Amino acid sequence: MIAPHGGRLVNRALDGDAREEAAARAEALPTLEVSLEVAYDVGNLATGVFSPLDGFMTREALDHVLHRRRLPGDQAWTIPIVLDAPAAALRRVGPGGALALACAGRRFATLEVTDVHALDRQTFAAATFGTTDPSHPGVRRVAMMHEMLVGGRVTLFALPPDPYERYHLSPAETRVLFRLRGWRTVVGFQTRNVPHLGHEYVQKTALTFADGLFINPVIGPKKAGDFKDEVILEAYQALMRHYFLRDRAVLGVFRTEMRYAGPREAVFHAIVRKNFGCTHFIVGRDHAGVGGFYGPYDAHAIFEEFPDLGIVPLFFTAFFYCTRCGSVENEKTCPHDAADRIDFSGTRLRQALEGADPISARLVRPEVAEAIARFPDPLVAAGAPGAR
Amino acid sequence: MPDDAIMIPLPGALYRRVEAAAGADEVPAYVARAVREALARDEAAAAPGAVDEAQIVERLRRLGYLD
Repeated sequence: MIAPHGGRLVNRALDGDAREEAAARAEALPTLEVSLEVAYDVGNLATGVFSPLDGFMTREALDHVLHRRRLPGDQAWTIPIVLDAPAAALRRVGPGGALALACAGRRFATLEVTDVHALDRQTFAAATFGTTDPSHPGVRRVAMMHEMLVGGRVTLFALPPDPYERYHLSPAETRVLFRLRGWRTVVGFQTRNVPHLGHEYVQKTALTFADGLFINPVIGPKKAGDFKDEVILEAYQALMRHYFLRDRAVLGVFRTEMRYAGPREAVFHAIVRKNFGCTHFIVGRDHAGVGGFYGPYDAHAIFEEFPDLGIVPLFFTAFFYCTRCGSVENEKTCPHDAADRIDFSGTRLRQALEGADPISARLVRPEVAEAIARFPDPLVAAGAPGAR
Repeated sequence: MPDDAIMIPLPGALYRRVEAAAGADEVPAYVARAVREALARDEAAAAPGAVDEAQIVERLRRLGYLD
């Protein structure tokens, strides 16, 4: 089994008596109310999804990540994992102190405060997203963050309620699952979309050379126009039921928010899948990109900076449906002209789902289209709660 | 690189030490030892034991991931 990032799978989630004792101790601590997304990232920290991180980044760790793309221990790390808070909420807390973290009024974790420092929005956004343009959803998110950052180790004693608990596996669980299935090589697939034939082509191409496939959609706040979480999961269930061998593919969620940080996020996504036990990770065209902020293959090139990542990236170029080949192809496999090719654009996908024209309908499996059609409003609406 | 060279993932600092030694005809013994030790540590850290595997298997069965 592949070693977790940093060599050790973090486990800061308590159970049994220790959980009860921690919950009782937390009642005496100053309490910081956090969003559901932050609560899920506490869960990610505590259950090893973000190994070797065991807490929110200190100023030193954040500086390393922003400027060197590595943690102080020299492990590759490209995305800040920080906890923001209003200064007023931190008046009673300093280094050496502790906070209880609560979500919707319910305490679920504690944080041993290592440091408290001011958020430098410009530096944070420029280094993470490569831009300070407010039209970038990540930059907008940073603009809305509170003014202070709190660093320190977390301890989880109660997971927040999770409507997708049935799909929620920890790295310890996926590692046991992969081993029991006899998978020595596992390909991780990141997605924030419903599956079309192009995704299936990439997944099955990679699976041809590996023992198993871990389809791991990001479930959490997304931008307007993206598919809703429940739609993505239903669509994948339909695809896997009808078009994958049951013992060769696993569907499990990664509960976090999309950052839309393009190449940096691609490396982060690879690290997380390494922690889940994947040996390989699929990196597509414009991975985790948004608008025209990143070059189509920036997310491929960045991996050259991390030869020590410990998980093998599998780079896929753009693919399309070729009407003459009658299949999904790419630039290396199809000799036909542009006129014969149908791109998997958002417009085409919508046409396919609406059954608007017979060619587009070939881009999505009918069972997947039916699953999506059961939702009267499958897309995240602008202004919806949590929409980026 | 020799034909029988094996590419292995290394922690960052260690990787750079190996990279620095790459000009030499042979990897120095201390580098090879450090690599072996680091890999052994990683293997040990990755081995199950810190988690309750029976509990995990029970949950995986309950959720339908295992028969």
